[in-house]
Amino acid sequence: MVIKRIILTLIIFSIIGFFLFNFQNYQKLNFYNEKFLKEKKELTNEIFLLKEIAVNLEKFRLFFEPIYLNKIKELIKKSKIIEDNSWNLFLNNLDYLTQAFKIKKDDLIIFTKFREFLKEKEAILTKTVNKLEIEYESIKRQKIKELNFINRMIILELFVMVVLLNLFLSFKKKKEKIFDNYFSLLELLKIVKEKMNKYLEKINSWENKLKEFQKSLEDIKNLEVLNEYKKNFTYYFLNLQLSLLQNDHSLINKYFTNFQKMSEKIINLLPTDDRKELTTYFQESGEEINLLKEELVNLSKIIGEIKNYEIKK
Amino acid sequence: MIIGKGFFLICEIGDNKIALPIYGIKEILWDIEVYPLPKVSEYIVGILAEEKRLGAVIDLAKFFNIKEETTQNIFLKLKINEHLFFLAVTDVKEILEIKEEEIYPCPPLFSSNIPNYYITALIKKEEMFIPIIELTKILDHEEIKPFISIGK
Repeated sequence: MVIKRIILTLIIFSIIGFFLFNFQNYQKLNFYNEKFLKEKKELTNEIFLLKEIAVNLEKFRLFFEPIYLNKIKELIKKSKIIEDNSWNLFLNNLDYLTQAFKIKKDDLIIFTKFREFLKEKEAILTKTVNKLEIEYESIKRQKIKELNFINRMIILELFVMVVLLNLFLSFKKKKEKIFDNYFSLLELLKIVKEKMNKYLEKINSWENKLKEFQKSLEDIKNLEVLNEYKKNFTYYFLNLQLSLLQNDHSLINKYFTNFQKMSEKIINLLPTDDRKELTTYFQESGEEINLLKEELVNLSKIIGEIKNYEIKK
Repeated sequence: MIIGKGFFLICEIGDNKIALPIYGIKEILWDIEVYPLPKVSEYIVGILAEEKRLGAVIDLAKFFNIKEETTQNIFLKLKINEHLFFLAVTDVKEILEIKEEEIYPCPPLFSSNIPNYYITALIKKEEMFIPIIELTKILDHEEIKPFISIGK
């Protein structure tokens, strides 16, 4: 019983552990996922910003309107990731272009350099995004692998424990096993019937003994009583069998109670006849009577079990 | 009625043993008083009250014209198709579980007492053949039918 309890406790803790472990890992994976998405979003926004700067730069080159330059300045302020002094250098150069009295051809090289700078920064950011993605996938794969391994170990452990429990420590008690199903109940009824037949046989022999003394005795009430008991006993049993076969619980209860009362009556009747003529018989067959009583008690117990089982069901 | 494996109640009517399928047999009653009915066939021995309902009592021995030496009467309480009625038999012996191979068809003129019409098949038990009685045919008997409806 103690071992069974320990194994059962282990199984319960393993199941709880299994769920907690899975839940924790699910949360961790979720956290990694959110973190990755946040970083990716920041980098993608920055790439988009660079593209917008490039567009506005192109517009400024074509139309030379200060509005585009202002837009570029605004966009650069928005940038959170790229901190580079080159920004100021490029902006100063562009400012110079707007203020210059006469623009030289060499001054226009600033546009090409700025474009190259933007492309270079964009390439770095794209590379970072890709790297981040690869890292995240790798972590995710690793975590899932670990999770699967530990889950398999827990399931295997649970399986082994359940097998052990079933093999060596059955959940059912011996008595409950008998009542596994309706058919085994009928099997039990057969045992009761066999016992009852033996019992009736013994009563018959007692009855015959009484009949031997009948001539010399004026009044043997026991004979009539015995006959009555025998009859009742048989019909109670048949009714019990009928009600069990038809699963009629109220009748099972009724006839079980009657059956038990009848057994008690017979037990009480046995040692009361103390007439001289019978004393010797009782003395001689004392052992037989004791066996009979024992058999009757056992019979009541078995029928009691059937009754309890039916009520429990 | 389909006869196959199942449980049968072995009863005695006079010296004859008969088998009744346990379907519908609710209880075995004894030492009870039957209230006689006037001007009815001999085999309708009276009525019994059970579960606040009345049911006609049919004596099978008298129905089949079988002489009974003993006066002991046992009553089988039956409920078939919501009809409550009782069958009086001389004695009940046991409940048997019968397999299909233990059931035989009934040859013509099997019994001088019980007409073949009421016998569905025979059960072989040890060296004896016990007829299985088809109750529905008894209940359909023109004299019995009106009394069965008492117990509805």
